[in-house]
Formats: sequence, C-alpha cells, structure tokens
Amino acid sequence: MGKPEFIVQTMDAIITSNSIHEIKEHLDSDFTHLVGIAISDIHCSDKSIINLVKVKGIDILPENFEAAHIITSKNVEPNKKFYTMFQPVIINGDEISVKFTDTEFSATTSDYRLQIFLLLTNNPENINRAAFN
Amino acid sequence: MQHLIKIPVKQDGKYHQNFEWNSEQYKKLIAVFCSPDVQLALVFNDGREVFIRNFDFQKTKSVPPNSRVMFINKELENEVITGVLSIQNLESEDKAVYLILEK
Repeated sequence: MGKPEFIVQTMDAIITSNSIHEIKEHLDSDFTHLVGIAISDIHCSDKSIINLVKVKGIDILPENFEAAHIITSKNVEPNKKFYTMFQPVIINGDEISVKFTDTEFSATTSDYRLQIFLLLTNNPENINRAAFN
Repeated sequence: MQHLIKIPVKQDGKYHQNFEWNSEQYKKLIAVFCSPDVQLALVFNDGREVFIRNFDFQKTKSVPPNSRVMFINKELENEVITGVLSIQNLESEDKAVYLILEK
C-alpha cells in the first residue's frame, strides 16, 4: 500500500494562563512539506496570539500572528479548515516550535486543551489545487 | 511560491493609522487581509491608484481561512504600497495588514 497524499498532524497543549505556552514536536518524517495550519474553535479566545511558528529556523507565519485568522468554526468543511497561503516549508522529520498566548485567559477561565493541526504532504502543488484553495 | 508578510500598525490613540511598505523584493501582490474588525484602504502608484477604499475585515470563523482574504493579483513594479487602517475602538490592541506576495 502506498503512502497517503497528505496527513494531518496534531499538536496539543494544556492552556493554563494568559502567559506564553510553547509546544514542540517532531514532524512526521514520511512527509516532505508542511503546507497548512489550522485551529478548531473549541476553547481558545478570538484574541489569542500565535507568537511564533518555527521549523529549522524558518518562521512559517509572521511573529505575533492573530490566531483568529486560522480559527474556524464547526461550520467549515474539514478539508477547508487549513490556512495554506504561505510558502510551503521543506521538512524531514524536523522539530516544529509553536508559541501561543490566549490573552483573554483570566482567573475564571478553566484550563483547556489547545489543538493545532498541521497539514503535511509530499505534493504541495497538487494538494493546494485539489482541495484547499 | 507565496510569501506572507505582516505590516504591523501601532495603535496609538487615533481612529485612522497610515502605513507604507516597499514592495521591491516582490513581483506580484496576490491578496491582502487585516486584523479583525478594521477597515482598510490600500493605494498603489504613489497614491494614484486606489485599490480598496475602506473595506471591512470582520471576524469570520465560519468561512475557510483561505477565503477570508481579498484577492488582488496585481503586478508590482518596485513600488511603495500605502494605506490606512480605520478602527472603531480606540482601546483595541495593535493591528496589522497582511500581504500575500510572489517573488
């Protein structure tokens, strides 16, 4: 059986305060390009900030990117939840580092699990044309 | 290949904030988007070509992220892009304009 065209890799973190949370994970080494990123609208506030997304020293998104741009609600089709309009990054099992801040987290907010979804593929051009643009 | 560029716009107590950005490294502006809940005016060619005049960018979580941008597809010739961000709440945080470009 051949490899799938793409894979969705998930990064998890428990958000416990309004300070910066750093999440690190190694990307699936069966895939050569990181092409998309998404957050589902479950717990984090609209004012959350993605301070940094970095692979091999390359910033995938601009520093202090407003998370609202990549948060989607349940109404969005699963294969259209990803933001893909950045330069695909060539990967080889590299570590990805994400820094995240929920600026509206307060003393009355319950801790929650943040999930960041990464779209990996071996065919970056095909995946954009076929499903995500 | 698409490059995503952020132009930070400092919130310093005014309803309208000007910005400018030199496009010299890039051949084409594909699309633009902004911080939620602002209006954007975008001007090219030394202020002579108005592309967007006070267009609303709102919170739109029910729309796919790739569809929240405004497509422009304009060839660039080493020009300065200028614009104005308009906000409604002076107590809001700093804003930004994002350009999706091709080299």
